[in-house]
Amino acid sequence: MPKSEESSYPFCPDEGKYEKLAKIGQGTFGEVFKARDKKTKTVVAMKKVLMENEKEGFPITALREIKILQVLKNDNIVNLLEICRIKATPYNRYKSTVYLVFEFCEHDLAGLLSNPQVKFSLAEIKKVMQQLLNGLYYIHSNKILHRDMKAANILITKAGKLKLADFGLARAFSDKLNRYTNRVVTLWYRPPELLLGERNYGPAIDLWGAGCIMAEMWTRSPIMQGNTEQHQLTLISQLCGSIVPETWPGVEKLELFSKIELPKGQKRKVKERLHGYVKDQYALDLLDKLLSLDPSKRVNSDDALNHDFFWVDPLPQDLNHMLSRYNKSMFEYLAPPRRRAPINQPPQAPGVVRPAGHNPDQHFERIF
Amino acid sequence: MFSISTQAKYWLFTGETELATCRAEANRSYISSRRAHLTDNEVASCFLTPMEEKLLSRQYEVVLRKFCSEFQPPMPKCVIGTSLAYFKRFYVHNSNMDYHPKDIMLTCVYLACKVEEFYVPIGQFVKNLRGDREKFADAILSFELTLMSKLNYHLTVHNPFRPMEGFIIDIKTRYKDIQNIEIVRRTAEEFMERSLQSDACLIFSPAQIALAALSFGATKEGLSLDRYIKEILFKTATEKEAEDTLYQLRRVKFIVKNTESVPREQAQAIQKKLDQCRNQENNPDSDVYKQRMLEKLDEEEDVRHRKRAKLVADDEPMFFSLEQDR
Repeated sequence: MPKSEESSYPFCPDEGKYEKLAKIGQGTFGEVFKARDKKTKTVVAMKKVLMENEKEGFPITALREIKILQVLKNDNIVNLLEICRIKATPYNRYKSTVYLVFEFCEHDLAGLLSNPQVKFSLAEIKKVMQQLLNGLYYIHSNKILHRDMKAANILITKAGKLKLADFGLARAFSDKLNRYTNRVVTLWYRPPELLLGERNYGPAIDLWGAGCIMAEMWTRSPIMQGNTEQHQLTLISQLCGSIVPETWPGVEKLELFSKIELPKGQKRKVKERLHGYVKDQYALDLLDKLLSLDPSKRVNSDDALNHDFFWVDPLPQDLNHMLSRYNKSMFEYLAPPRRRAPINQPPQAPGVVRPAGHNPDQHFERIF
Repeated sequence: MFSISTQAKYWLFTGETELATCRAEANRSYISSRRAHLTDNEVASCFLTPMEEKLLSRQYEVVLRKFCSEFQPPMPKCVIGTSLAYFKRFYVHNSNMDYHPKDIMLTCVYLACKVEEFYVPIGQFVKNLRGDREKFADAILSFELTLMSKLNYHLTVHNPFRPMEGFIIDIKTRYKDIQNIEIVRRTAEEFMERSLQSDACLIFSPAQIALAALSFGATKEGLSLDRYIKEILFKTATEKEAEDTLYQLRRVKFIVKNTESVPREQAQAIQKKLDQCRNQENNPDSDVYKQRMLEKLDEEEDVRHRKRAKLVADDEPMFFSLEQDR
């Protein structure tokens, strides 16, 4: 973005409250800016709600995000400060824009992991995962699914506090039989049940993502970078073993189980494959439980928090000391692209044509 | 949870008096911005009085409920409750003259459908209306953001329907004096329906309304819930708290009982008056409004042109070869 555009016009002309400082991200339904409250000098993050292509008015996903964040108030959940609307006036051609204003967090986990100078000790990794699971425990006990777990949506303040962010795909869930969309979660973090078409899913989908993120704390880049849903399932099978009813009873009933090609005869190698990066036995055991193929056997956030990993030496250690060495914000959006596929580099199956220009990190339908 | 909700924090008023003060202020502020040099008598004949505004709102609440009850596909009760809550909240601080209730009413229902996860695409939504559907759709979408911001983005509404089910289960399990609470249900539901037509949801918690409805229904059947409330529900609370609750329930019943309907002729007369004094800038049929929409369209057209121009520029070689092939 050219510099002049960044500073030329102020925010919220009707209130004149915030001034834009820099673009720091591209959220799921709009751009994110760093901005400052002119009066109090408080720095905030402002997320613009994209309305241009909406035939249905204010996006239902943004409505859900507002509704959910007004209820969720927790140390490990990003704090929604207010909603700011630029009123339609002749000066902006009667176009009004809505911004969600959040407390500002200096880093996101993807940004930190892409910087080789940032090194996490085992005790610090424990602290990250403890806070992440604590956030998930809180939202799940409030009957909310996040549905977009990935390192870029995990914010970390310079004081070392972790905040789950981007509830643009989140929604309330019930214990009844449901039919949600399965077109959620960024492909690399999408659990096998969603890839196989499950529509009656639950909190376990977020714990799969937590497992992917946990592994990434050591591998430093996403562990399974599929190009297509088929490819993603192949990568998952190569790591977690073949998807078969013997290890996952009921999987054969999922809509796509018979329609998609699943690698056969694959052994589960979660611990072996990750051992090169992760030396800690407790960590490997927790990873193994988070990356369970069968969602009903996947560890829940409560049990994960009780796992020995968090309770044996070295105990979780605050990140503020380590982060105090860096005075620059680290966001994935601002970082160079990370190295690809450190652990899974299966040869591309012959005959599989990848759609040109396909971006695996994209979201699909945003509604439901 | 209701106790920590925006509803409990921002949208419960002390009573009819406070609500009347807020509405009178909205009325006064609209008139003072437009009266110019009119005398008080002229003002009274041109503009709506707070009383007329209240009657008009009531009338549109009836229309809203009728629209909802005939809506296809049939909508869950909570959508109706939430729509009405939005509508009532909107006119606490805004004048009917500034925003016409017919526009706000439809926008409330459309927004409530989304928020309550009863999603109906706009095209299907306006099929429930007679007349120029495209115009309705445009109006709804153009008022949506205004409605949201006037509601302060407090979108979650706690309705009394779930609390009522909760009380029924509780009475069944803990209060053996009444064996057949189900016989109360129909009257209680009618009471709740009527409560939607009153200011109850701006004054009482949903649980109070639900309990008042059940207590009302019980009385009709010659039963009483007073002992249930005092000895079971408020067993661990002080006597005073239980008495307070019983007093509040009487207040709910009084307010709900006193919702009268507006005679048709009276409503029509007020509407006629409204046509003269309404804010034309918020009237989708007015010239000012149309002019503004045209400017907006021009702008969008400009952007589209620029985008298209850019696309053409980016794709230029291919574009030419295609032309040559032909």
